[in-house]
Amino acid sequence: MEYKPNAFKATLILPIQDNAGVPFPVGTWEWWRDKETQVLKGFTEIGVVKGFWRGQSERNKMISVVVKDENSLDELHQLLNEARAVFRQEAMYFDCHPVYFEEVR
Amino acid sequence: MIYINRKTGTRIALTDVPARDRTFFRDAVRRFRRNAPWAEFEDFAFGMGSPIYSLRVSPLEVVKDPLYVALKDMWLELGVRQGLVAERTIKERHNHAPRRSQSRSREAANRQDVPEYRKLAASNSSARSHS
Repeated sequence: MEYKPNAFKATLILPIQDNAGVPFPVGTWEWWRDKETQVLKGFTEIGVVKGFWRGQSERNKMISVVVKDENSLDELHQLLNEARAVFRQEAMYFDCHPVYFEEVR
Repeated sequence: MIYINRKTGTRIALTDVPARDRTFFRDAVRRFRRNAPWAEFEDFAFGMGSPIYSLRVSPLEVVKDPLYVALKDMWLELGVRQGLVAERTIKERHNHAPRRSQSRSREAANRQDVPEYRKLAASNSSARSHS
């Protein structure tokens, strides 16, 4: 069996608190929830992770998503760009790489 | 079946919801009542196993679906309860009277400049469902 890459796996990290350690308001998360539902369509693994940024310890939401093509990666990239403004961040974490994906049944 | 969150003034009629989705909704309410961890509830409500993605509508329309709106409301309330989402400010509560229909979600879906909205009056109560 061959496992040639047929999709991309991307990782997005969202802060759970702002730079002062204050939780984001309901409206921010409501916006994110709607966007995530529209763009990511449920193909996600979600977890809360602890990270460090310039010496500050933070709690973050890590989202791992498998998408079929580069257009979808562009959508994710655009989503993070919007989220950067909404979450009032200087930068947002994003990485991606080709993967073999299959729903084994 | 009706979803009511007296704290936020949200009232959502879950009419025309298939039996399978009703079961899912009741399970969500149970998890909400036992204060399931925020991320765990999110994974349950919006993860791969959620029926919201099998709704007969486009991804853009999903966010208007009553089941989705009810699940989102519970998720946000859990976040507030667990200190991971900021409660609405007094000013926010004052400026916006409670909205008691699912039209709220349509505004949410259309809204572009987010964090300033969804400022519903608060009182001390929690989500519940009525069959």
